[in-house]
Amino acid sequence: MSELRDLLDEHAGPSPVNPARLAGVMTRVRRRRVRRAAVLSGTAGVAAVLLALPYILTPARNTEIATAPASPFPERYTADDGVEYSRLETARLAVPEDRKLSITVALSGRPLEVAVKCRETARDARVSLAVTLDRRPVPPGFPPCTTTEMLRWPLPDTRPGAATATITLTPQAHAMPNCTPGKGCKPSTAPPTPDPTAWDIAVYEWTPPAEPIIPGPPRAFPSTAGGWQLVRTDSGVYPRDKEVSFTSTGKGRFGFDKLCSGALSRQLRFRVFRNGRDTGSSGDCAVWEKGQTYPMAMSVERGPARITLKLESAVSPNNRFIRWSVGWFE
Amino acid sequence: MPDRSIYPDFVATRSDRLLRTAFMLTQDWALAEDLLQESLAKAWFAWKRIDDPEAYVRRVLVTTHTSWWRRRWRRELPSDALPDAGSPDAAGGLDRRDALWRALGRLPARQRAVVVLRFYEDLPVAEVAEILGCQIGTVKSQSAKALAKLRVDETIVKELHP
Repeated sequence: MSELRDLLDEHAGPSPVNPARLAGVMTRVRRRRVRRAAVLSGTAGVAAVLLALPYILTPARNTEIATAPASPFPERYTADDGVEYSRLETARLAVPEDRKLSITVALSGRPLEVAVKCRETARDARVSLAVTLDRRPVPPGFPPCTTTEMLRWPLPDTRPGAATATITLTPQAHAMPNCTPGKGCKPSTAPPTPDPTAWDIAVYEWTPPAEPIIPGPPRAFPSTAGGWQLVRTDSGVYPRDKEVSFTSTGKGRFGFDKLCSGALSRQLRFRVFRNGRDTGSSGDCAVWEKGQTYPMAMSVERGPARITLKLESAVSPNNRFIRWSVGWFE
Repeated sequence: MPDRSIYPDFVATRSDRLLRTAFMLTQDWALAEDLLQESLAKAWFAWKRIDDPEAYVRRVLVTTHTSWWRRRWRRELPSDALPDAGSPDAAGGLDRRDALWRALGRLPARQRAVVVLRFYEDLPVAEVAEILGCQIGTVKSQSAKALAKLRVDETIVKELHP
């Protein structure tokens, strides 16, 4: 018995993090709504839900970083593409003690990166970290602690001419519905009380390479995935190639997925236009590492339609380009 | 009746757990993600009439996976007979755990669901029966068949039929 249970637990984790999951689900909801064409007023409901903010933790105290404690982050490191990173500040953040953490760094003109490492993992991790740079949100922030690996996030360009920049990380506890069997569920009225969670945090700056770095291409899409057949792949290098389109003439469903390579991949956004109209939705691209299963996050559309994806990023490339591939499936 | 404003929180907080369950059913993280998103989308439409969202999504995971599996089964695997035993790979050596994992993947969807719900989710037999929409006796018999196919120690099978 224990062998079977151990086997199941062994294969259960860690699970791939997909910050675009809710967006993917809502895309499916929209597609289903299109099929249920009678329900036209649903868009407002979807928008309301997407705008619904997570509960903010009960304030306990604010933390302004003053001294750097011992940190698991190296003072310097070299990224896979050869770019050098230097650590500027380190900090710790813990809930429920800290309401937020602000780190102010002196700017040298080099781009910034924030790195986060969870102290422990929790199976029911419920606290994510929202990130802002000089009060501008840097979505999607960091996910709850399902891994203790270092997660790195390139920060957008700082304000021109600014001498300092302030990075703020705000824990956001996601409330669980208050459910009673037989009586249904209600939203939690009290602030959630998650288990204690702690992070080590560092801010780095990196030196833009003198020569352009174009990474190798992302891994090829599988020819089939989840019952979908790959029909076409488009590829490009951002920021040179910023748009890609696909036309489906049939009436059936078709889907698209995105893969990227390059250090700044995770900040690349794909805005979705359907028959020339902005759908208001956008998504990121997955980085398919070696040894991982295909990190599918398929967006589904119904034909006939022409889908155009417009690429944008709040992070200037600074000679570090992003290779992207879009797989179109039917 | 759940308020839809809690839906994003539900997705954020429960997805990891549900994704693992989906992976147990599909044995493929990409398929699991697809299955989870499909199930969450179905739950969105049923949201106002469900009492326990997590149990509901878990049930939809199982039924949707069974539905997918049936379609693929008809298309790709026209036999319902499982191999007698896991055969060693070309390199000559699957260890026992690998063989067990692969054998789990070869189980029919409903039996696999029983194993996952009973031994991964640790749900009582009655709750598994409720999720699968069947009798308690059916869960026990499906468990016994599954475990027999997995070549799990016979004491487990006896445990199910004390």
